[in-house]
Amino acid sequence: MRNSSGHFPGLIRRIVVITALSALTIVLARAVLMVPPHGEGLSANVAENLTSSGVLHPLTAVLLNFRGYDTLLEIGVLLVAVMAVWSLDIQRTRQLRLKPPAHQNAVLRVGLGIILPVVVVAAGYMVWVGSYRPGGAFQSGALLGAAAVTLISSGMLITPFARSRMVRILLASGFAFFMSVASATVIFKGRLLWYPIEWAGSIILVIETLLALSIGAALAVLFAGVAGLRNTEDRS
Amino acid sequence: MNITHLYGLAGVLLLAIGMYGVLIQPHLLKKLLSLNIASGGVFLLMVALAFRGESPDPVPHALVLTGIVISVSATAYAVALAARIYRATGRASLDQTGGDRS
Repeated sequence: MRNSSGHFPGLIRRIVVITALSALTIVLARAVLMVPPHGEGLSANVAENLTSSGVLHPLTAVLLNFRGYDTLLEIGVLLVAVMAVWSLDIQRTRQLRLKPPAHQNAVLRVGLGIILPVVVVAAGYMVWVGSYRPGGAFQSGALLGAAAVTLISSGMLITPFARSRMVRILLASGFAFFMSVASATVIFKGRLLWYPIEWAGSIILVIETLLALSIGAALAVLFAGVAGLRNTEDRS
Repeated sequence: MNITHLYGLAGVLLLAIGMYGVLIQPHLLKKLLSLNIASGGVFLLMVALAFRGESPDPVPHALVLTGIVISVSATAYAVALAARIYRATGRASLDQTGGDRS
Protein backbone atom coordinates (compact mmCIF):
# COMPACT_ATOMS: atom_id res chain seq x y z
CA MET A 1 0.00 0.00 0.00
CA ARG A 2 2.86 2.34 0.79
CA ASN A 3 4.47 1.64 -2.59
CA SER A 4 1.68 3.06 -4.71
CA SER A 5 -0.91 5.26 -3.04
CA GLY A 6 0.95 5.50 0.29
CA HIS A 7 3.71 7.41 -1.46
CA PHE A 8 1.56 10.41 -2.33
CA PRO A 9 0.53 11.46 1.19
CA GLY A 10 4.25 11.42 2.08
CA LEU A 11 5.06 13.60 -0.93
CA ILE A 12 2.23 16.03 -0.18
CA ARG A 13 3.32 16.24 3.44
CA ARG A 14 6.90 16.91 2.40
CA ILE A 15 5.76 19.75 0.11
CA VAL A 16 3.58 21.28 2.84
CA VAL A 17 6.39 21.04 5.41
CA ILE A 18 8.99 22.48 3.02
CA THR A 19 6.67 25.39 2.10
CA ALA A 20 5.89 26.19 5.74
CA LEU A 21 9.55 25.95 6.79
CA SER A 22 10.66 28.12 3.84
CA ALA A 23 8.16 30.77 4.92
CA LEU A 24 9.43 30.53 8.52
CA THR A 25 13.06 30.77 7.35
CA ILE A 26 12.35 33.83 5.21
CA VAL A 27 10.48 35.62 8.01
CA LEU A 28 13.18 34.82 10.60
CA ALA A 29 15.99 35.71 8.16
CA ARG A 30 14.35 39.10 7.49
CA ALA A 31 14.03 39.64 11.24
CA VAL A 32 17.72 38.77 11.75
CA LEU A 33 18.77 41.18 8.97
CA MET A 34 16.64 43.95 10.51
CA VAL A 35 18.54 43.72 13.81
CA PRO A 36 20.80 46.79 14.07
CA PRO A 37 24.51 45.83 13.86
CA HIS A 38 25.31 47.59 17.14
CA GLY A 39 23.52 47.27 20.42
CA GLU A 40 24.49 46.63 24.00
CA GLY A 41 21.37 44.78 25.16
CA LEU A 42 21.41 44.44 28.92
CA SER A 43 25.21 44.38 29.35
CA ALA A 44 25.24 48.01 30.63
CA ASN A 45 22.67 47.13 33.34
CA VAL A 46 24.68 44.05 34.32
CA ALA A 47 27.96 46.01 34.45
CA GLU A 48 26.31 48.71 36.59
CA ASN A 49 25.13 46.20 39.21
CA LEU A 50 28.13 43.85 39.06
CA THR A 51 29.61 45.25 42.30
CA SER A 52 26.51 44.16 44.26
CA SER A 53 26.49 40.60 42.84
CA GLY A 54 29.42 39.18 44.86
CA VAL A 55 31.28 37.97 41.74
CA LEU A 56 33.36 39.69 39.07
CA HIS A 57 32.21 37.85 35.95
CA PRO A 58 28.99 39.14 34.36
CA LEU A 59 27.82 35.69 33.16
CA THR A 60 28.14 34.15 36.64
CA ALA A 61 26.43 37.22 38.13
CA VAL A 62 23.44 36.73 35.78
CA LEU A 63 23.29 32.95 36.31
CA LEU A 64 23.60 32.84 40.08
CA ASN A 65 22.36 36.25 41.20
CA PHE A 66 20.32 38.46 38.83
CA ARG A 67 18.50 35.57 37.17
CA GLY A 68 19.24 32.93 39.79
CA TYR A 69 15.71 31.56 39.47
CA ASP A 70 16.59 30.27 35.97
CA THR A 71 19.39 28.21 37.44
CA LEU A 72 17.21 27.07 40.35
CA LEU A 73 14.52 25.84 37.96
CA GLU A 74 17.16 24.31 35.70
CA ILE A 75 18.63 22.08 38.42
CA GLY A 76 15.02 21.22 39.30
CA VAL A 77 14.37 20.15 35.69
CA LEU A 78 17.55 18.06 35.71
CA LEU A 79 16.36 16.30 38.88
CA VAL A 80 12.90 15.71 37.38
CA ALA A 81 14.52 14.29 34.22
CA VAL A 82 16.51 11.81 36.33
CA MET A 83 13.35 10.74 38.19
CA ALA A 84 11.41 10.47 34.92
CA VAL A 85 14.11 8.28 33.32
CA TRP A 86 14.21 6.08 36.43
CA SER A 87 10.43 5.77 36.46
CA LEU A 88 10.45 4.38 32.89
CA ASP A 89 12.57 1.52 34.19
CA ILE A 90 14.15 0.63 30.86
CA GLN A 91 17.04 -1.26 32.41
CA ARG A 92 15.13 -3.90 34.32
CA THR A 93 16.97 -6.75 32.68
CA ARG A 94 20.03 -5.16 31.18
CA GLN A 95 23.29 -3.74 32.47
CA LEU A 96 25.86 -1.89 30.49
CA ARG A 97 29.09 -3.85 30.75
CA LEU A 98 32.11 -3.85 28.54
CA LYS A 99 33.87 -7.11 27.76
CA PRO A 100 36.59 -7.36 28.90
CA PRO A 101 36.29 -4.80 31.72
CA ALA A 102 38.89 -2.09 32.01
CA HIS A 103 40.76 -3.62 34.96
CA GLN A 104 41.94 -6.38 32.63
CA ASN A 105 43.29 -3.82 30.17
CA ALA A 106 46.48 -2.19 31.47
CA VAL A 107 46.53 0.68 28.93
CA LEU A 108 42.94 1.69 29.66
CA ARG A 109 43.43 1.38 33.43
CA VAL A 110 46.63 3.46 33.52
CA GLY A 111 45.18 5.98 31.05
CA LEU A 112 42.09 6.47 33.23
CA GLY A 113 44.35 6.77 36.29
CA ILE A 114 46.14 9.69 34.62
CA ILE A 115 43.15 11.43 33.03
CA LEU A 116 40.51 11.21 35.76
CA PRO A 117 42.42 13.05 38.54
CA VAL A 118 43.23 15.82 36.05
CA VAL A 119 39.54 16.10 35.11
CA VAL A 120 38.51 16.30 38.78
CA VAL A 121 41.08 19.04 39.48
CA ALA A 122 39.96 20.90 36.33
CA ALA A 123 36.33 20.66 37.53
CA GLY A 124 37.29 22.20 40.89
CA TYR A 125 39.21 24.95 39.11
CA MET A 126 36.20 25.65 36.87
CA VAL A 127 33.96 26.36 39.88
CA TRP A 128 36.55 28.64 41.47
CA VAL A 129 37.41 30.53 38.28
CA GLY A 130 33.71 31.20 37.54
CA SER A 131 33.72 34.17 39.90
CA TYR A 132 35.95 36.27 37.64
CA ARG A 133 36.34 34.42 34.31
CA PRO A 134 34.26 32.17 32.04
CA GLY A 135 33.56 29.01 34.00
CA GLY A 136 31.22 27.89 36.73
CA ALA A 137 28.94 25.12 37.85
CA PHE A 138 27.80 23.98 34.38
CA GLN A 139 31.24 23.62 32.85
CA SER A 140 32.45 21.92 36.01
CA GLY A 141 29.42 19.63 36.14
CA ALA A 142 29.96 18.71 32.48
CA LEU A 143 33.57 17.72 33.27
CA LEU A 144 32.51 15.62 36.27
CA GLY A 145 29.73 14.02 34.21
CA ALA A 146 32.20 13.21 31.44
CA ALA A 147 34.57 11.62 33.97
CA ALA A 148 31.76 9.44 35.30
CA VAL A 149 30.62 8.51 31.78
CA THR A 150 34.21 7.48 30.98
CA LEU A 151 34.22 5.24 34.06
CA ILE A 152 30.83 3.74 33.18
CA SER A 153 31.65 3.07 29.53
CA SER A 154 34.99 1.50 30.43
CA GLY A 155 33.20 -0.94 32.73
CA MET A 156 34.84 0.36 35.94
CA LEU A 157 31.56 1.68 37.34
CA ILE A 158 28.59 -0.59 36.80
CA THR A 159 25.22 1.04 36.27
CA PRO A 160 23.31 -0.22 39.39
CA PHE A 161 25.70 2.07 41.29
CA ALA A 162 23.66 4.96 39.85
CA ARG A 163 20.82 4.31 42.31
CA SER A 164 22.95 4.03 45.44
CA ARG A 165 22.20 6.26 48.44
CA MET A 166 25.34 8.35 47.94
CA VAL A 167 24.44 9.17 44.35
CA ARG A 168 20.88 10.08 45.37
CA ILE A 169 22.24 12.48 48.01
CA LEU A 170 24.63 14.01 45.44
CA LEU A 171 21.76 14.42 42.97
CA ALA A 172 19.51 16.17 45.46
CA SER A 173 22.11 18.30 47.30
CA GLY A 174 22.43 21.05 44.68
CA PHE A 175 18.69 21.63 44.37
CA ALA A 176 18.09 21.22 48.12
CA PHE A 177 20.71 23.78 49.14
CA PHE A 178 19.76 26.26 46.40
CA MET A 179 16.10 25.91 47.38
CA SER A 180 16.91 26.49 51.06
CA VAL A 181 18.87 29.63 50.16
CA ALA A 182 15.96 30.81 47.99
CA SER A 183 13.48 30.20 50.83
CA ALA A 184 15.75 31.95 53.34
CA THR A 185 16.02 35.04 51.10
CA VAL A 186 12.24 35.14 50.73
CA ILE A 187 11.77 34.89 54.53
CA PHE A 188 14.54 37.26 55.66
CA LYS A 189 14.98 39.66 52.74
CA GLY A 190 11.42 39.54 51.43
CA ARG A 191 12.49 38.85 47.84
CA LEU A 192 13.50 35.68 46.02
CA LEU A 193 17.29 35.17 45.77
CA TRP A 194 18.29 38.59 47.07
CA TYR A 195 21.54 37.70 48.81
CA PRO A 196 23.02 39.98 51.49
CA ILE A 197 25.79 41.79 49.58
CA GLU A 198 28.59 40.95 52.02
CA TRP A 199 27.81 37.20 51.83
CA ALA A 200 26.87 37.01 48.16
CA GLY A 201 30.30 35.78 46.98
CA SER A 202 30.49 32.95 49.53
CA ILE A 203 26.87 31.88 49.01
CA ILE A 204 27.40 31.73 45.25
CA LEU A 205 30.59 29.68 45.66
CA VAL A 206 28.87 27.09 47.89
CA ILE A 207 25.83 26.91 45.57
CA GLU A 208 28.09 26.49 42.54
CA THR A 209 30.13 23.72 44.18
CA LEU A 210 27.01 21.73 45.09
CA LEU A 211 25.44 22.47 41.69
CA ALA A 212 28.57 21.16 39.92
CA LEU A 213 28.40 17.90 41.91
CA SER A 214 24.66 17.54 41.28
CA ILE A 215 24.92 18.34 37.56
CA GLY A 216 27.82 15.90 37.16
CA ALA A 217 25.91 13.17 39.01
CA ALA A 218 22.71 13.87 37.03
CA LEU A 219 24.49 13.72 33.65
CA ALA A 220 26.18 10.44 34.62
CA VAL A 221 22.92 8.94 35.93
CA LEU A 222 21.03 10.02 32.80
CA PHE A 223 23.74 8.37 30.69
CA ALA A 224 23.64 5.22 32.79
CA GLY A 225 19.83 5.25 32.63
CA VAL A 226 19.58 5.33 28.86
CA ALA A 227 22.80 3.55 27.89
CA GLY A 228 22.20 0.09 26.51
CA LEU A 229 19.56 1.28 24.06
CA ARG A 230 21.81 0.10 21.26
CA ASN A 231 21.73 -3.43 22.62
CA THR A 232 17.94 -3.53 22.22
CA GLU A 233 18.20 -2.02 18.73
CA ASP A 234 20.73 -4.66 17.71
CA ARG A 235 18.41 -7.45 18.75
CA SER A 236 15.89 -6.65 16.01
CA MET B 1 25.39 42.05 6.31
CA ASN B 2 28.04 41.50 8.94
CA ILE B 3 29.30 38.63 11.09
CA THR B 4 26.31 38.85 13.48
CA HIS B 5 23.90 38.51 10.57
CA LEU B 6 25.93 35.62 9.11
CA TYR B 7 25.82 33.64 12.38
CA GLY B 8 22.17 34.58 12.89
CA LEU B 9 21.19 33.36 9.42
CA ALA B 10 23.15 30.14 9.98
CA GLY B 11 21.14 29.66 13.19
CA VAL B 12 17.84 30.20 11.32
CA LEU B 13 18.92 27.71 8.64
CA LEU B 14 19.84 25.09 11.26
CA LEU B 15 16.46 25.63 12.93
CA ALA B 16 14.65 25.00 9.61
CA ILE B 17 16.77 21.91 8.80
CA GLY B 18 16.12 20.50 12.26
CA MET B 19 12.38 21.20 12.10
CA TYR B 20 12.21 19.44 8.72
CA GLY B 21 13.75 16.35 10.28
CA VAL B 22 11.41 16.46 13.28
CA LEU B 23 8.35 16.62 11.00
CA ILE B 24 9.46 14.21 8.26
CA GLN B 25 11.73 11.55 9.79
CA PRO B 26 9.62 8.67 11.12
CA HIS B 27 12.37 7.13 13.27
CA LEU B 28 12.29 8.40 16.85
CA LEU B 29 16.07 8.75 17.25
CA LYS B 30 16.27 10.68 13.96
CA LYS B 31 13.50 12.98 15.20
CA LEU B 32 15.47 13.48 18.39
CA LEU B 33 18.71 14.27 16.53
CA SER B 34 16.77 16.72 14.35
CA LEU B 35 15.27 18.38 17.42
CA ASN B 36 18.77 18.88 18.81
CA ILE B 37 19.95 20.40 15.52
CA ALA B 38 16.98 22.79 15.66
CA SER B 39 17.71 23.80 19.24
CA GLY B 40 21.38 24.23 18.31
CA GLY B 41 20.19 26.69 15.67
CA VAL B 42 18.18 28.63 18.26
CA PHE B 43 21.17 28.74 20.64
CA LEU B 44 23.44 29.94 17.82
CA LEU B 45 20.92 32.66 16.90
CA MET B 46 20.65 33.87 20.51
CA VAL B 47 24.40 33.90 21.10
CA ALA B 48 25.03 35.66 17.79
CA LEU B 49 22.45 38.38 18.44
CA ALA B 50 23.83 38.93 21.95
CA PHE B 51 27.25 40.05 20.61
CA ARG B 52 26.65 43.34 18.85
CA GLY B 53 28.90 45.72 20.75
CA GLU B 54 32.24 45.80 22.52
CA SER B 55 31.22 43.17 25.08
CA PRO B 56 28.67 40.37 24.69
CA ASP B 57 25.33 40.73 26.48
CA PRO B 58 25.56 38.20 29.35
CA VAL B 59 21.78 37.71 29.76
CA PRO B 60 21.11 35.76 26.50
CA HIS B 61 24.36 33.85 27.10
CA ALA B 62 23.08 32.78 30.52
CA LEU B 63 19.75 31.78 28.97
CA VAL B 64 21.55 29.65 26.35
CA LEU B 65 23.73 28.00 29.01
CA THR B 66 20.58 27.11 30.94
CA GLY B 67 18.90 25.96 27.72
CA ILE B 68 21.76 23.59 26.85
CA VAL B 69 21.40 21.75 30.16
CA ILE B 70 17.60 21.61 29.77
CA SER B 71 17.94 20.24 26.23
CA VAL B 72 20.40 17.58 27.44
CA SER B 73 18.00 16.41 30.16
CA ALA B 74 15.00 16.51 27.81
CA THR B 75 16.99 14.50 25.25
CA ALA B 76 17.90 11.88 27.84
CA TYR B 77 14.25 11.57 28.85
CA ALA B 78 13.19 11.31 25.19
CA VAL B 79 15.77 8.57 24.55
CA ALA B 80 14.40 6.68 27.57
CA LEU B 81 10.86 7.09 26.21
CA ALA B 82 12.00 5.83 22.81
CA ALA B 83 13.54 2.78 24.49
CA ARG B 84 10.28 2.17 26.35
CA ILE B 85 8.28 2.51 23.11
CA TYR B 86 10.65 0.04 21.49
CA ARG B 87 10.13 -2.41 24.32
CA ALA B 88 6.35 -2.03 24.23
CA THR B 89 5.84 -2.14 20.44
CA GLY B 90 8.99 -3.75 19.04
CA ARG B 91 9.71 -0.70 16.88
CA ALA B 92 11.39 2.64 17.38
CA SER B 93 9.70 4.36 14.47
CA LEU B 94 6.36 6.06 13.92
CA ASP B 95 6.28 4.81 10.33
CA GLN B 96 3.30 2.42 10.21
CA THR B 97 3.06 -0.09 7.42
CA GLY B 98 -0.47 -0.12 6.01
CA GLY B 99 -0.88 3.53 5.05
CA ASP B 100 -1.73 4.82 8.53
CA ARG B 101 1.17 7.22 8.69
CA SER B 102 1.07 9.37 11.76
